[in-house]
Amino acid sequence: MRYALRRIVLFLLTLWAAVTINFLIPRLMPGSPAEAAVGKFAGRGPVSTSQVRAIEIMLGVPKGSLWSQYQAYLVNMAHFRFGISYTFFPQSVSSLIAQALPWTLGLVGIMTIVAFSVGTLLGVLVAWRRGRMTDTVGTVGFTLMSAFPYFWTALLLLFVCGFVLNWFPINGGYSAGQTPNLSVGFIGSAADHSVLPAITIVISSLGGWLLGMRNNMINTLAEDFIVFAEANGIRSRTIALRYAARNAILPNLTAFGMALGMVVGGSVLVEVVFGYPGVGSLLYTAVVNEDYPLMQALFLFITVSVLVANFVVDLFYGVLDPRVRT
Amino acid sequence: MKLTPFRTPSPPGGQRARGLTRAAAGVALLGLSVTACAGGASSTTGPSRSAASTTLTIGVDNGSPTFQENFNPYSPSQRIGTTYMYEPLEFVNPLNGAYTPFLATGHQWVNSTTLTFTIRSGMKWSNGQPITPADVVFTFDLLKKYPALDGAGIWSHVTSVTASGQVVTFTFSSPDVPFAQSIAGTLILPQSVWSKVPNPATFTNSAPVVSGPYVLSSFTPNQYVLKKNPRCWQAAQVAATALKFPALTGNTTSQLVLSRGGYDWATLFVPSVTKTWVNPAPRYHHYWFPPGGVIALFLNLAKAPFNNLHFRLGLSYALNRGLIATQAENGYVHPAVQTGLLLPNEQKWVDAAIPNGGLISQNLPAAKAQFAKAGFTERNGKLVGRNGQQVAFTIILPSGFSDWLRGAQAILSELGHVGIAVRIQTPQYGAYYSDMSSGGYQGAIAAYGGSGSPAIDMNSLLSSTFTAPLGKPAGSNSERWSSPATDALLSRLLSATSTQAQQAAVNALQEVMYTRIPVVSLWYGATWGEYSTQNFTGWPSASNPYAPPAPYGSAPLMIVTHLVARH
Repeated sequence: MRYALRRIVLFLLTLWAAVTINFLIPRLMPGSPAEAAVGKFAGRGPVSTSQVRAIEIMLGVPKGSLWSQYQAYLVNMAHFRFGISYTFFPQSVSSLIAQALPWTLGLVGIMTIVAFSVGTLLGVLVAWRRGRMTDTVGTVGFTLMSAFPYFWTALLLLFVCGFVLNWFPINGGYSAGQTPNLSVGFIGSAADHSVLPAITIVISSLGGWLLGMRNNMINTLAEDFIVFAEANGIRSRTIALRYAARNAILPNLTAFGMALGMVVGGSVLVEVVFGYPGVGSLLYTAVVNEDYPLMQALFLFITVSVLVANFVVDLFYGVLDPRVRT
Repeated sequence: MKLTPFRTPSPPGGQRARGLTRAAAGVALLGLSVTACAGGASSTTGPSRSAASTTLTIGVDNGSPTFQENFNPYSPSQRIGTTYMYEPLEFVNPLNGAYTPFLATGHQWVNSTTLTFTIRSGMKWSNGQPITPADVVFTFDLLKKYPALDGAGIWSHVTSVTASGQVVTFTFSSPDVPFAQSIAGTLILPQSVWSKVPNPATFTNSAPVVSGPYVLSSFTPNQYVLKKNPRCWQAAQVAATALKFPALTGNTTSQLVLSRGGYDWATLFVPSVTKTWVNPAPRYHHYWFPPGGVIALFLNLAKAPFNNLHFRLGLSYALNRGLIATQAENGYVHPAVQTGLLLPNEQKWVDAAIPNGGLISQNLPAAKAQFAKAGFTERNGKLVGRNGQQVAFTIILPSGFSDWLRGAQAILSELGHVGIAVRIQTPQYGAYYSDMSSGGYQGAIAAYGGSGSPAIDMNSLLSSTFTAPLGKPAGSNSERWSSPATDALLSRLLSATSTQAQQAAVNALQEVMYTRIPVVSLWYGATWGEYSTQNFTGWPSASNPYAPPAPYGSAPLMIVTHLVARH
């Protein structure tokens, strides 16, 4: 119980720090949001001062001392009032996030689970066959794949499978002209559009899970109880999965918890390359346009979900491993 | 992801002049289709579009990554399609300043502070209500009531707007003849709808009632469609029955879609336009990249050594503008003349007394002579000042503007040859803007001009009204040129109503630009325009520049009323 209490206090403290940093960082960026908003038009030619003034009035760019802004900010956060987006004026930040979140949870969330499950299983396999062909090819191959930069894999897939071979659509989350709903046609189109981003995410994260699991497994396989099990003539598969893997998976599970927390942030580069309508694209747009309200809300979401995931893993760990409870 | 297409100003720009251009357009049309046929013997059809289609697919609106519905013509986050629906009093061609009448039949200066527009009669809004001068007065009053809508700064020039019969009269606080362009370009709203809107700044206008050639047909988060407005006063000139705006989600994918022939009209910077766009269907696929502004090296004139005329002249002679232009924009644009004009658009304003049309070519001996006059000498390949230090300065430009960056890199290497050490920094746009505005910079790549009127361009670049001391926010004169003689020339120009008086003042200002180098003009920022003549002809081109080929801003209204369906 004391363990749980300590975790909760620590959690709240971290949360406060995160919320405060979240308030400060955007305000340390040079330039004002109106000037950045004007940047959108700058690609189209010189911007007049009257345009900047009109935009400032429209956005209601924060005035007043940092301290009074901070107080107002805390009150708003406590009530889940995130304000109006500057970039998508006059849309509310909450509605933008609500639109983007399902896409990211669907794509990045599912693919994180897939990559974790497949990667971990492959890790068990190559560790069991360590030193042999499967190990060499699997380990080297997947390490190589995860060493490719994310966006490069994405661009390559986009160009080859999307453009040259024309197998999959090259951008967006669904076909032009469709409205998100639960019809078969729409879901099919959404699935079709998610194939390339999904492959990108799996390819680039699989190697990490595989390597982590393989290394843990190899350590575990050297333990006495495995030798004992082998000596008792237990089937290899049973040893690998029921005895070795169950022990070896603990560190990977922690990492998985954190990865799930990060899902909310989306996969920025992949979403941007494929123009996927998720949180990653939204985050990118917010940062590029110095959209404080949207940026703050998104960072808050990401921080809180990582903290919560961490907190849950911490508690869970306490149950799984009595040693940490002291 | 912003590959800076430099584009012409988008704000409710001008629009204008009609009867006259029709005939001219017809002629040019012919010319265009003739060349088109001559171009490719065997036909290559654009993939996946039926030949009889009367829909235009326009690749212009960036979804980032999906669309938020907003058809408020005074909102900064409006959908680009909005500019195909609302009309101004007159269209002003940003290429050459020519007026084409739209909702007004013309304008007249009663004296240098009184301007009248005559509103066309018999027009109807898309809901069937008549369009009246009262709507015009209402629109301007709305901009006064809500300064957030007044991005053109109308009410800092105008003191009153009144209607009498079909005539609307604007009274100016001081003479500013070229400002007629901003008034002419203001998009007019229906009073019956907008008078009931509680806050026009946050209104998203999902069912627009409009005067223009198109009305909203359908909207989804990644595509919207406009259909022809049968009630539009010039519906007879509108050939395309529908316009489709799919969401663009980034340069890479948009270029791929373009090269597949997925757009009939787009505004993209593509690295090799002949290969990616023209060659797949050479008979139909055309492009035109006319100058939309001048990209220049701004030097902070309030700081040494840029306050020294001879140093600036030396810099100007040290640069090979042709090479810089080629490197920056893949050879799509020409180097800019130093007189502040955009050529060939503004050819009629050129002062014949200035040699070579105002283009300054690289001349290293002359550069060295000017540097010597400014008190700098070359030592071991380095240009050093009297204090023995090498001349070094930083050039800033917004991050993501990759073409400007390539231009700056060319400058860096060319100035390196005369012994000047240049550093390049690419801050976020917001930081760049505030640096320029407060004068915290040394050198910067920036754009000026492109309104179609040398008076407006030069006034915003050179007038001391728009500058400020270091540390205070300056307006468009961020190079901080401050000269009573120039101000006097500008005020003469702003109050001049005769072409002769205007030309005299513009000549004198070209002289200032050419001999005093307030900014170092480098190359022309292009307006990117790729279009297909497969279903429609009559697009603007170098031989018929009735509008820039841009699918945004004020140009679309002109273009959609000039297109002719191919049968």
